[in-house]
Amino acid sequence: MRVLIMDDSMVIRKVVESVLRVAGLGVDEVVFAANGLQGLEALERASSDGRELDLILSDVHMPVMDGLEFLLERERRGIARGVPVVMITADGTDPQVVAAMAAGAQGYISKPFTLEQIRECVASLLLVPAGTGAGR
Amino acid sequence: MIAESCAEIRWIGQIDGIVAAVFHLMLGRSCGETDETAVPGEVISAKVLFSGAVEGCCVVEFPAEAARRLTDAFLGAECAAGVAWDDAMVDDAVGELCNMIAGGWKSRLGRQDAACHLSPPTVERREGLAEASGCDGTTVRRMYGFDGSVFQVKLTVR
Repeated sequence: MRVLIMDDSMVIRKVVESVLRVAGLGVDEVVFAANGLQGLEALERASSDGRELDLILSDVHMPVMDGLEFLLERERRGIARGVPVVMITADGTDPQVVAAMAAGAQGYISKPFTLEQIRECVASLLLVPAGTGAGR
Repeated sequence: MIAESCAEIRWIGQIDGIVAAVFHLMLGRSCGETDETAVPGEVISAKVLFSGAVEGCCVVEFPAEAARRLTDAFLGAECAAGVAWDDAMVDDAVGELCNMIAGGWKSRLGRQDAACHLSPPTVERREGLAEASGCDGTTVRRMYGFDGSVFQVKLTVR
């Protein structure tokens, strides 16, 4: 499984990667982006390389291009539309999260999160048997 | 005055619970309120502003060594041994902690009060802990300890 992690916090990018790798979800490769624009560039690169991503985990508030703008621009450009997006937020009551869900995000996870929450959310979206290490 | 005192007591309970939850869930550490005081020296301070239905701010202040340990805890033992984190990484860790505490506090507000906006965390370095939060309103200050380090959390609501 190939995963894009978008967050302007380097610490959170590393924490999410670490959790994904120990969650037994069969993560082969992680791609990082510090904002939505970098995320779109990563999607376009993956598409042109024929190495499509399987999952996107995105912060809501980021400089340059936030998570909602990313979703809208992804739709407008028509790239990786079928790749599920999960928003990660410190503020689960943020209206931006609701807007992101309306714009195509499949779920959200509130910080602080547990390994189990990440595992269950990702496994349910990708139909991965949690804990088996199996890919999609 | 009584209402203000009740609010402060409620906030203290909420902040204690949120800080403990963040450390337990994200860092696998126990963290609780302490009477200890921080050693003087450089402090990394992060602030998140509340605006809208609730006005105020959440501030966390870490002495430099405590901030380094926080960064160790965030990034795990496999990275931490002997690593000298650069200032940007340490500032990022303190800012994210502040973000999570502020978000956690907001999520425990009633629906009406939760209609407030959180700013992105701003981080600065200076000498020593500050008593004031820099925001107008009633402030609750708490000291917490983890892994032999102490840090301060201030919540101000107008």
